[in-house]
Amino acid sequence: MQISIENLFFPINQKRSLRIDNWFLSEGKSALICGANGSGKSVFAQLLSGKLSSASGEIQFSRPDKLASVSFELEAEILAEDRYHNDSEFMEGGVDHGRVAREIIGNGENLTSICDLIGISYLLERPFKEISTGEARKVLIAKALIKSPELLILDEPLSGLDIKSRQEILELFNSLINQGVQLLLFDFYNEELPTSISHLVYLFEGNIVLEGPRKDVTQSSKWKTYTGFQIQLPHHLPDCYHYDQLDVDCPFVETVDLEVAYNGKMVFKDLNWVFKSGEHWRISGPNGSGKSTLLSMISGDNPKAYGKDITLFGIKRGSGESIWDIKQHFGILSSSLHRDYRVSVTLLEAVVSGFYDSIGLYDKPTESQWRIGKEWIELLGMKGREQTPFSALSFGEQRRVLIVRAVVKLPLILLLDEPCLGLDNKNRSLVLTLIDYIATHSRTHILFVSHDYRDELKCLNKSLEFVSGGDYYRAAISNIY
Amino acid sequence: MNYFNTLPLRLQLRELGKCSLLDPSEYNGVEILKGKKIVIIGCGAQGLNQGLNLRDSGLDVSYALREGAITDQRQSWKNASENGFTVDTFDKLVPTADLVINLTPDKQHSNAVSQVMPMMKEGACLSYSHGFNIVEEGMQIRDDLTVIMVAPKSPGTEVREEYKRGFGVPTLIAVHTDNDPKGDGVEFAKAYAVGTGGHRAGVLMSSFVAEVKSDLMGEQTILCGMLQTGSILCYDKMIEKGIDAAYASKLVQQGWETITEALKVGGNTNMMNRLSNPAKIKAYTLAEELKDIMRSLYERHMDRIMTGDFSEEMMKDWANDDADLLKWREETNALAFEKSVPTTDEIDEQAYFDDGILMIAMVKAGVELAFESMVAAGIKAESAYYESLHEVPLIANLISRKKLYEMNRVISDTAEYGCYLFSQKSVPLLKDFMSKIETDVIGAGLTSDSNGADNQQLDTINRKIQDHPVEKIGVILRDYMTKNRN
Repeated sequence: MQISIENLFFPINQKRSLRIDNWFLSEGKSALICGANGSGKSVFAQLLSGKLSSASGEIQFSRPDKLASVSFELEAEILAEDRYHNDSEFMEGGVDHGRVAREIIGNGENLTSICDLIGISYLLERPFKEISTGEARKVLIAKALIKSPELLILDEPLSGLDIKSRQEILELFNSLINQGVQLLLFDFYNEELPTSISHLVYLFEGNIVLEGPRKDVTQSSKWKTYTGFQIQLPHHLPDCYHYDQLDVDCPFVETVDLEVAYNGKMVFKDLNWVFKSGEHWRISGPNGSGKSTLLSMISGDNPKAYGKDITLFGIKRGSGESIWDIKQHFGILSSSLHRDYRVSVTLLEAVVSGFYDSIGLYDKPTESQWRIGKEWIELLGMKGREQTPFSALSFGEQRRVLIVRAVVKLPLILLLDEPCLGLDNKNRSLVLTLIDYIATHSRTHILFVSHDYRDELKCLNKSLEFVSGGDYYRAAISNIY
Repeated sequence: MNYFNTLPLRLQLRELGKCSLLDPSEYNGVEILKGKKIVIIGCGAQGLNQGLNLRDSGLDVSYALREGAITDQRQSWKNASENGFTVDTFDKLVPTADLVINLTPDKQHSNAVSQVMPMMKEGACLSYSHGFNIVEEGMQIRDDLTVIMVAPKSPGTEVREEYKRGFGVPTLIAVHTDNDPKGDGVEFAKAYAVGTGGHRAGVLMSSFVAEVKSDLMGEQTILCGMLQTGSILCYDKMIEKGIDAAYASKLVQQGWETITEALKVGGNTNMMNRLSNPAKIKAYTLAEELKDIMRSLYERHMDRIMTGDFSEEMMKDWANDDADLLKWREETNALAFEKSVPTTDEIDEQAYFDDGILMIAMVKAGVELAFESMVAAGIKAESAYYESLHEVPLIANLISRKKLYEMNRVISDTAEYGCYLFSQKSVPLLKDFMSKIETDVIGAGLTSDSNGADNQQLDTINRKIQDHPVEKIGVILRDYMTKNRN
């Protein structure tokens, strides 16, 4: 399919616009479209997939109905539709599980072969809103492929996928290209992007600044100017007067033979885990192995924790403590928190809500809490945008804000579940540097989940890995040196 | 035996007038419920979600279900167990309970409570989320038991979502004056409300009597009745005048929800402000006319609810296997609107307002009339607000998703029965009025593009809209509901 663009203009935010005067993609040519956070990548992807209409200018496709797309926004839309049609109030049992994966994917004669290829046949009857990040991504890819598109627009398709899934999807992309499907893959530039796509388009502050064969572009002198960055370590962390008065000799978390099952299917079993002072953990494992479940169980967010032998801060769960007593010791960032953060607050209010562990702001913060919030916002490079509505920020920007929200009270435990999803290389590096800094300069302990090979934290000294034990997963615990 | 009718006027007035917003200083956390056994009867949306909140607040919660639901592993059993709750039969759990929460469907209350009461231990507490059983059916509860009501004014899922956010939903509480042997009913009710997060969004201290009488009035008249009547009249008029059927269908079906979204955020004032100046003046005039025509019907509904005649008539139909209810339900299925197919084209959000002037007038008139009738009968403004304006967007959303037949089928039978009574009278009542209606107020929008208006006229109308008591109390309550006041 040919694509031709003329005089395309779209405002990204108050200061920046996407501006593409002339662009042409020839028949059958795939391309990587890269750029940092705020470069206009997502806006461009949404304009191409029809989600947004341009303020002016034209995009012409030679065969517009042979186009399909995959993006975070799509996932959010599907969830919003399910929420709208939620019939819980009128159903026996009071729970509406929403559409299952099969319903999201849709119908097509190649349904079985696509699902086999992507490896999601096992979850077709599972509710879409209840599957893991990576699983949801795969379902969206299947949904796009079911229409046998000529052109596939992919907005960060690999984020949140475990190593195995990432390899599978990369192979899938390579084979699709061999079959003649055109891929337009939007992502932050990294070496892992499919090698079968050799054409690279680089966006910077809303304009196409570099374009050509990948090798040539990345080795050009201009490349360094556009992609180079330096991270400065903070002088000191914003001072937080509230310190956790907990007995440090008491383990934070202790589980005995912990197991979790959903609808009768066991996810993991026999988890005996002790998390003590001085430890920073990496939690890893395949998509759907129970990483997020485990973390939500100890942070007070998962009802599955009741009735299990879990001791938090010396108190056994189910002893009459409220989840708010537990949450005060945690600063949390996870995909489900991000999904649920749909309230109308400003950037600053979202950050300060971290002091109260709430989604939205329902208390009256003190002067020093506002001040500390602002200092953190500056540290993460977002000064001047405090009054921007949270919902108006891009996915990556929202992520950064939620990271700040998690750290703002310098919690005893910082629980980060795929924190760098949606962040470009510079911001990723900034966030990771900051986390390492926090770990070494405060009493905060880190619990970290990530599939991304680029996510290296020097502070991590323990590892919990979910490995396959046949019908369910088991945990392998070790030290990191 | 209708309990309300056994009270002398003096006490009827006292109970009807009970209504006060709790001050943040009046809560004591969940202290009085700590360590006590809470057993919830029934596991529907309210049951499940309230239980999840109470447990997350540190309380001991389990579910008692009918034997059949457990052995058949029905959804209610599945959802309670899947969430890690103890689930068992009535006779295993109820005798151990300090607080029994009855969250079964309204129609089953007599049955459920009769079964459960003998098993309850001495001095325990029984809680309802709706007072019909006590007030209209006159259920007699053992003297030693404390009877309270805790009613969140939102669907179950929202009760849970807002709690998880660190907030809550506005909640109504009450204590049955005849059953408060230790005088601590209000403390139990407050603690329960705190446990579900209600205290953060505003708790209204009311009475069983006020809750029932206002709830019945709201659901029959403005909530279901008016929207049903409005759908029928507006759709039929547009077809009569040649508006494209698919457009008319969608305008009505999605229209209620779109216009009441504005109502939800800022009351009648905001909804009317969405219109152009001339359109607002038209809507205001139409609403005044509608009020004059329908006032006596609204008052009649309120009167029959107060005397108990409504409940009596309805319970006769219950005893007759819901013969009338089901017959009228099928008639709804045969309505032209119900059978119509909405267009798949997008309708611009503002178009719902510009082309739906009559619908806006109907909502405004209905809200104000319901509110006024309730207040005239002795119910206080806050209670009247929650049972009139507050719930309209919810029903509008149901109609938007499912149209009238399904809306009626899923709401409570009591609401549905009342809705049909209202609709049967109001449609013919508005016949003359509708005969003079043209498409400029429904379906096509005003013909002139000008947004000019007479300043005096516009200003007078704006002030009249804002000064109505439902708007004044609305501003205060909506403020509470969107943020905690320190």
